[in-house]
Amino acid sequence: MIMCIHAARELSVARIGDAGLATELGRSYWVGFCMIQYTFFAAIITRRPPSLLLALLTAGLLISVYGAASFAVQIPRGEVTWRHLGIIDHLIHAGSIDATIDAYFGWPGFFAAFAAFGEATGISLIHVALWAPVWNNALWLLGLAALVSQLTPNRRHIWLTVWIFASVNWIDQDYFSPQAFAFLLYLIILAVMLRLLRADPPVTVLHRLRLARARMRRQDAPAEATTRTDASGRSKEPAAVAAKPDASRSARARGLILVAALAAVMIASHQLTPFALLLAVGALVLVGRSATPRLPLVLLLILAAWLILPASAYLDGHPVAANAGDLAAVADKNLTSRISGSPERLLVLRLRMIVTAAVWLLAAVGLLRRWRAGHRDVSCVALAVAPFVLLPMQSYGGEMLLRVTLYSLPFMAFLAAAALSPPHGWDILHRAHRPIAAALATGLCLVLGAASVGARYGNARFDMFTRGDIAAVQALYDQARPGDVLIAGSHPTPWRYRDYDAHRYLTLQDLCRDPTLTAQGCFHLVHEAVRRSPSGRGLVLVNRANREAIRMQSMLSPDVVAGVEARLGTGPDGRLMLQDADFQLYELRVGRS
Amino acid sequence: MSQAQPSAAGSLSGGDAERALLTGVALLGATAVCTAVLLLPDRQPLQAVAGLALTAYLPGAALARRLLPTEPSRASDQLLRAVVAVGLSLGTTVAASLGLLYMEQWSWQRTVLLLAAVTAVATLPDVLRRRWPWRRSA
Repeated sequence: MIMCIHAARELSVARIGDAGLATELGRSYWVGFCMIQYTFFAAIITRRPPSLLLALLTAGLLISVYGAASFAVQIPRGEVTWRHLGIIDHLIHAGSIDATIDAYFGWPGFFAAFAAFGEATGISLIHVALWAPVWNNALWLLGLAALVSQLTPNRRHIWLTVWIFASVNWIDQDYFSPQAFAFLLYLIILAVMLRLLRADPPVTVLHRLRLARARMRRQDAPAEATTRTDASGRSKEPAAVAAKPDASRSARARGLILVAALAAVMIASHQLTPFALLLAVGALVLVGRSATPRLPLVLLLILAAWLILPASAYLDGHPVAANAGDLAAVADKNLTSRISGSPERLLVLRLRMIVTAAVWLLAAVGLLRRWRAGHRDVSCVALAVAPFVLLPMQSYGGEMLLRVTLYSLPFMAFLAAAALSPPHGWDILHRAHRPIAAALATGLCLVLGAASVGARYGNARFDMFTRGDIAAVQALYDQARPGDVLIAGSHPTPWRYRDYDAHRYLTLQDLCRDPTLTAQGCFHLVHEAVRRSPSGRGLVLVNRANREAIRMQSMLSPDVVAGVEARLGTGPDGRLMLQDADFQLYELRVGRS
Repeated sequence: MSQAQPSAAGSLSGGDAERALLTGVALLGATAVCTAVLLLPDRQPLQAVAGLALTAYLPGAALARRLLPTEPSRASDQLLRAVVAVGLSLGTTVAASLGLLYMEQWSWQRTVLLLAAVTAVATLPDVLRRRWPWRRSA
């Protein structure tokens, strides 16, 4: 771990290439990474795997992988993190919620909590955001361990699941965000469901329908016996539906309260995760593993209440299932339009798909192995598959596939762990064969883990910010006046961390999305946006990260940006205000005649 | 003679009942100390720890004791209770802060007081219900 941290600290964003952070991390990082992976598997094959060592190794893996970017630059990655800090700043200063500002204010739970947390603890939220990937993953792994321990009592399997999740989670949704918080709640709620609300033995929906019909018949014919019995006189009704002792009923009621309370917090914090939860809970009911078949209805009611009341301001004009059923649009936004850019970037995108496919393949092998060994992982399979129903519902800005992959990953990791273990367990395996099996598992996890590091940090050239990028935005705010429209070259830009609703924020990337636009056409759109602003003044910032994002993602022609900059710098209504090695800041004033 | 008290986990043995009582008292004490540290006029060095404990653990730990029936011997139950405590604490912080924001009464001090109140309300009835050692011997 020390080798990994040392190597990460040596990094410079300027040296990072189009293939991202992985190629620049240096030999010592990868030696350290291999040692962590090897030590884990060496420890797990022992007769009594030492929990403390495994916990320390897991912490080492988390810090090495998820803390690498934080050690390198000490600046939070990604534009969205900075925006979230701005929303919290706005709440602290406003002391109230204006749901009309944007979607975030329709689901403000996470921001409200961190407003209180930041002010109460005195800890800088920039530092919290900087290390968010590490502490989010640490909390997720605890939630995952609690969840998986409801699926199997086998400690090795639990540790392996945790390790695989930590090794292959390239999805990069662990930054300072409502979805990371909601995912933690998702894991906890499912763990509580599997512990307290599990139907034992399983009762499928079909079975429940049959029982309901039988009850109705009995009501019609009261003279008949009230319960069907077999030859020995025992009730034929499944145990879960038959009368339960009071203690069990009380536990179930408490479980229901717990799940409903946590789900309500989730619903107040994030738009998408509650739908994933609804599907997961629905899947458990469908396969007969839930003792509370009405729970999806309860969740649906809470969700509907939130959408109708606090979130209604945003939902006017933003329907929940905007692309429902439009598979072509969903596929285009989630796959086709995302797979573009420089050759190295395309390599990173392919790597992401390969890692995901490999984990799913391992999960399929694991499922087969466990099935043959007599384990019926119906709950696990249902929970792994359920999130995919979300795919045709919404494109979610092209991120739905990423989110679905994350929601299914805990269960895919559980099944994949079975593929990395010998078919009949490590203890039965011959002593001489154990190191071979362990070496194979280490090799596989090592390759997947290294590929995940590459996939995770593939955008590092533009989503890791330098001090120059931060200084550029600071200069922008120094020059901005209330009512100005602020325009950046592209996403990501580390802005909106202050003055959240004092300005309109736009990017050339969004304004000039039409590929047929010329520089003149793009400038015209910028001009129009500035003309519509309250002050008739706009500031246009183009910094290093913007230029790299435009070049690598091929979403906008660099020539168009150069043309707009030339027009801004030389035109009668524009001027170059400030410039540095890393950025140019232009001012555009538009008369209202 | 120690008397078992009914709880979420069913009936408790004498040792378990005493442990539950001690946990309840510890939760109340920690909440009082954390609230005092946070609300004192000068910023205290322990403020970060106290804030973290009050927003991310104590209210949830108190609520989890009431809502989550666990078998103390099961490691998986202990882990689940710890994780649920964190989730419920963060959830309580969301609810308290969000409620104050919607009522336009938000301040972090009020949020802290609400969190302390939730912890106390969730813990006090259980602590008062239990037989204290000196009452038992009397």
